[in-house]
Parts: sequence; structure tokens; C-alpha cells
Amino acid sequence: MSPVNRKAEEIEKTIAADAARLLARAVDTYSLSAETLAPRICAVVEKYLLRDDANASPADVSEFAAKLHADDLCLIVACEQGNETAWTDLVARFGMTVRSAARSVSSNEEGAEDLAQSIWAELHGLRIRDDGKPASKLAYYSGRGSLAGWLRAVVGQLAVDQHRKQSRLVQTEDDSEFDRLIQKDEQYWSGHADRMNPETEISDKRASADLQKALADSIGHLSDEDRLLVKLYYFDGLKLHEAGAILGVHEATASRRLTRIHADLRLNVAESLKNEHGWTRPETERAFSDIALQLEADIEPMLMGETMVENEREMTG
Amino acid sequence: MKTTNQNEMDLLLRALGRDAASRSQTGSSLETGDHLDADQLNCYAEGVVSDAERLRYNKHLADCDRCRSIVAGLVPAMARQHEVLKPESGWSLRDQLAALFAPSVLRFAIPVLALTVVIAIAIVALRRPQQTDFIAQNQQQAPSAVSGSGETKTTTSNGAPQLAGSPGQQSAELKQKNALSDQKSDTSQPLAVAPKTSSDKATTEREAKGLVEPSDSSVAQSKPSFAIEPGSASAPPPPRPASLDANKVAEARKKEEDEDLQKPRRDENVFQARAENEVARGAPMKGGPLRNNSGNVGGNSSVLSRQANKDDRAADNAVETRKISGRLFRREGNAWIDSDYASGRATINVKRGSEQFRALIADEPGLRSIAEQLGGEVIVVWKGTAYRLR
Repeated sequence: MSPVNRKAEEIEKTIAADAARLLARAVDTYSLSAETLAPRICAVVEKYLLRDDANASPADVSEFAAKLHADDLCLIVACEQGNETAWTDLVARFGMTVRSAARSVSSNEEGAEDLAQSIWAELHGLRIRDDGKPASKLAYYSGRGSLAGWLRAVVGQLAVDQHRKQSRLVQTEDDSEFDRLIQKDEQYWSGHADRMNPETEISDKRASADLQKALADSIGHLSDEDRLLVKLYYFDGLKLHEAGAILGVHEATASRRLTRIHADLRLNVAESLKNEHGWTRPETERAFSDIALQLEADIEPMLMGETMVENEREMTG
Repeated sequence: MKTTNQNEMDLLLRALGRDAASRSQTGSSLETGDHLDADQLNCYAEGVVSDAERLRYNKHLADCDRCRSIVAGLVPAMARQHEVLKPESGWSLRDQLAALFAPSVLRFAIPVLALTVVIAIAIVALRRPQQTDFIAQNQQQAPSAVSGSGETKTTTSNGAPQLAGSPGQQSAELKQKNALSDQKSDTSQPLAVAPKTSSDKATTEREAKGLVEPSDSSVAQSKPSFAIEPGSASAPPPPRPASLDANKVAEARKKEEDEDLQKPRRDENVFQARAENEVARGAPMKGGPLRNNSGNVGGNSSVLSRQANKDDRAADNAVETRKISGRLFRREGNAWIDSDYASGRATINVKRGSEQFRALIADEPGLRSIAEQLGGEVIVVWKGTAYRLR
């Protein structure tokens, strides 16, 4: 027997023992057996553990399996097996979670309800696999994270996909609206929408476009984590502590990191404008100053509006 | 200027973010090929991924608006869930204990505790009175005329305890030791018991009360220096014992001198027994708190110390048997044992000073005499019954 096969056999034995231990940890096993659970654990180990560490030892496997959410995984596997009691429990325990997640990504109650129903349909499985069982999304739950979080992620995925599908339809059907948005965006970036001098307007638009491109390029050159922080904070509208939580750092650390990113970006943008567009240093400084002044005037009311909306949201819970 | 620059960049990035958001709404945002599935997104948002996974996911999320928007939607919900799950009533006992014994706390607490203990021990040690070393110094007296009084002596040494405290007393003791050492060198002199005169006794009593300092060196020389434990010093002098046969005493003395060189040094119990024996024989003791004089004498001359020890051992051997009220007692360790007592025989334990003891000696005067003359533990067979007097 080759060492690889021997190791694979050891890991299989370990997983079988881990499955038994996981069942012992679960409050309700829904009459699942270790043999039923072992293939699921094996798939999870291969997906997460062995992908980054192919030489993981049986001890590593056991440590990994010990961190799985035993109750949630048993519930989902039992649902997959068609256990009616498990399905009843799943709906009873997580119906509210699904509805809440759907509500948070939908613009109205009706849309939220539709989305929630779509989720349950996805979980049941609309298609039939080759083995005759429904192709359910339940097969993708690993038990590594919480079941509630996974359900929220499923809702989020479905909502984004539906939204994008609808957006594409809207875009195709109404190009004029898109053009209007682009035009508005250009005015917004130029910061000189009210100017009447065409020459100046063209010059400013070009400068604005150069600056925008340089900034986008500079962001692209940031490290993955810095780029993610910038996008989470500025593009996705997360608060600093939320962005920090995603990155696994404290809010203060995220703030310091953001300050450093600002300095890096400014330096890189100035360098890019100078090298690629022939801008002088005073021109760069003036462009920064002018555009920032205009943006401040434009964005401030929006920020105020955002703050009011956030306050209202917090007050309403 | 720096703040202004940061503010400018902040505004520019906000504008860029709005632009990206509007593009996202129109479905033209950035997307990468393979998206993260719901389980990966959830694991990432819940922070249960490995470092390698985190780096990989960061790279994807930094460029994929779709997946990042899903993750961004998960975080506030998770924060709300954590707030709901957060216990309302402060820390549990387990949390408090865990915080109390946290390594960060113990890192400082252990040295502080250790230092406190050391300081406490040092304070206790400094405040504690210095232990006195009791060294037996039963020194042989110069030969003198043996009186024909009825005082029973099984040894020739007159063990009168001497106080050592004031410089004058210590000096007198030192002189006395030197003088006795000189006298000891003359071994041809016969052993004899110095009679205790009434004037000597009076002086001793006054000295015991601390009223009179022994100024006369001849008086000091006539008395052996003998320090005993504080407890026995306050004991009242017992009545004088009955006389023993002088020849027997001489023989015993000779025998003990022969064994002297071979006998190991006695322990403190033996010493105490000897001291009690001296008390029982009526040697005048000085009352009041005993003070250590060994430090003053023993440190000056090792010859003196050896001589004193030799005298001690001689005195110990001299009191191995005593005859009181027609009964012969032998000493075994710290106890006096009646010669009629058979080993292993059951005894009635009677504690000295107890109600039972008082009743017993009141009924049996002979037993009282024995109890008074023999200190320490005594096993006596009286009227067919063995008593153990403690």
C-alpha cells in the first residue's frame, strides 16, 4: 500500500470517527448514522482543509471536524435525506431568518415574500439529479459556518442575481435611461455642470476623466486587502467597524489603514497624472483642490440624507 | 495640509464609490469568473476561514462586486445577531474567573504575591525573639569537705543554675569557667560534694530574684554554671532528698567517668531530665527568666565547652539509679522506672497536678515522696499496682 493510499485510509477512518463524535455532540441527530454523515464531512474536508493543505494529518482533520456546527449539519443532512421532521424544524427555526434576510434586500414586503418563497423552493430543489434526488442547495452547506448565516448568504445571492437579471432587462429595454445616467455621472464628476463656456467645460471634463482614471488605476494597484477595504467602505457603504470586522481587524486598525491608503493613493494618482498625462505638480494640486471643493458641495447633502436615513433605520430597528 | 489632502481623497473616493454603485445598479459592475458560493461567503463573513483562504477570498472580493455586496449584506445582520445573543447581565462567574486567572493578570499577580510572602516571612522572622541555645555547663567543683548531712547526692557536681544577663554576671561566669577549667586539670583530687550553707542559699535566692549580683568570685567559683530551660527554672525547689551511700556514689562516679569517653552526646531530653534531677536533689536554682550564657562562654573557649560537656555526661551517668522510700529506681531515657516493674505490665497513667494525682499522693504519702523526689515520668509499683506518673 502506497503512503498516499495509507494516509487516505487513515483520514477516512478519522472522518468516520469524527462523524460519530459529531452525532454525539448534536442535540437531535434525526436518526442519522455516522455512515450517512461521513461522506458529507469528507466532502467538506476536501473542499476547505485539503485544498490549502494537501498534507493535512488525521489530527488536523479531527480538529477541523470538531469545529463543525453539529446541530445545523445534522438538520441539513436530515432534510436532504427527506426527513419530514427535519424539514418542519428547519422552517420553524429559520423561517424568520429567511424572511428577515429577504426583507433587507428587497425594496418592498411583497418582493421580500416572493424572495423568501424562492429560497425555500431552492432549498427543496427544483431540479432532479441523476440519482433521482432533487438538486437542492442544501448540499452546499458545510456546517463550518452557522446555518442562519448560510441562509442569509443564499438569500443575498439570489437577490443579487435576480436584481442583476432585472437590471440587464431594464438596460436593454431603455438605453436612453442609461445614457441619461452616464451623462449625469459625467456632470457629477466634472463638478462644473452649470458652466456655460464649452471650452472650459471640455477641459474640465477631460481633467476630471483623467483624475478618475488615475484614481481607479491607483486603487487597482493597492494590495488585495487594502482594495477590499476601500471598496467595502466607499463602494458598498459599510461602516468602518463593519469593514474591519470583515477583514478581521479592529475599527481603529481599519481607520489607520484607510488613512495610509489615502496617502498612498494621492501619491500614486499624482504620479500617474504626471507620467501619463503630463500634469505638473501645481496643476495636480489645483485639480485635487477644485474637484474636492465641488464634490464636497455636491456630496454633503447626500451624506446628510444618508445620515438621516440611517438614523431612521436605527430608530425603527 | 495633511488633513486637507486626506479629506480630498476621501471625497474623491466617495464620488468614485457612487459611480461604481450606479454602475452596479445598471448591471455593469465588475465580476470575476467563479464566484464564491454561499457557504464560502458565510464562512468568510463569520471569520472561520484559514489565513490562506482569507487571502484568496480577499483577492476575489476586492474585484468581484457581486460577492462583495453579498458579504457586505451579511455583516450588519451578523452584528445584529451578536447583539441579540449577547448576555444582558454582565459577566458570568466563569467569565470573571477566567478574567481573574488570565495570563495577563497572573503575569503581574504572581510576582507581587511572591514578594508579599517574602516580606511577611521576613517581618515575622525579625520580630520573633532570638532563640537561645541551651548548652549544659555542669562543671565540676573543687573538692571540699563532705558534710555528713542527710542530703542525698548521686553526683559530686552541684548543679546550681546561674543567670547570665548583665555584663557583670557574664564576666563573672567567664572567670568562673576559667577557674573551673584549671581545677579540672587536677584529676587526682577526690570527688566530693560541697555542702550547701545557709548563706549560700540565701545568696542564691537573692540572685534568683535579680536583687544581688554575684560579685565575689570565690562564691561564683563554688557554684557550677548550669543553665536550664526556662520552664524548669521557675519550679519551686523540692525538699532535700534522702542520703545515699557514699561508697556507692563513688563507685558510680568512677564507672561513669570510664564510660564518659565512649558515650555519645546526650540529647536535650536527657539534659532536661538531668536538670530536673538536679532540682529534685535540692540544688538551689535561680528564679526568674533564664538567660542564655552559652554565647558568652562557649564562644570564648572550646576547652571550656568540652569540659562542660564531659561534666554533663558524668552527671547523667551518676543518676541512673536512685533509691527512694526503700524502692530502687533506674533511669531509662527520660523516665524513672521502679525495679519491681516488669516490662509490658499495664500501668495507670496519672498526670501530675491532676485531680487523680492529688488524690493518689494524698492517700499514699510514700508515693508522694517518690513523686516529689523524682521529676519527669515515673513508673512505680505501689501496692501491686503500676502507676505511670507523667
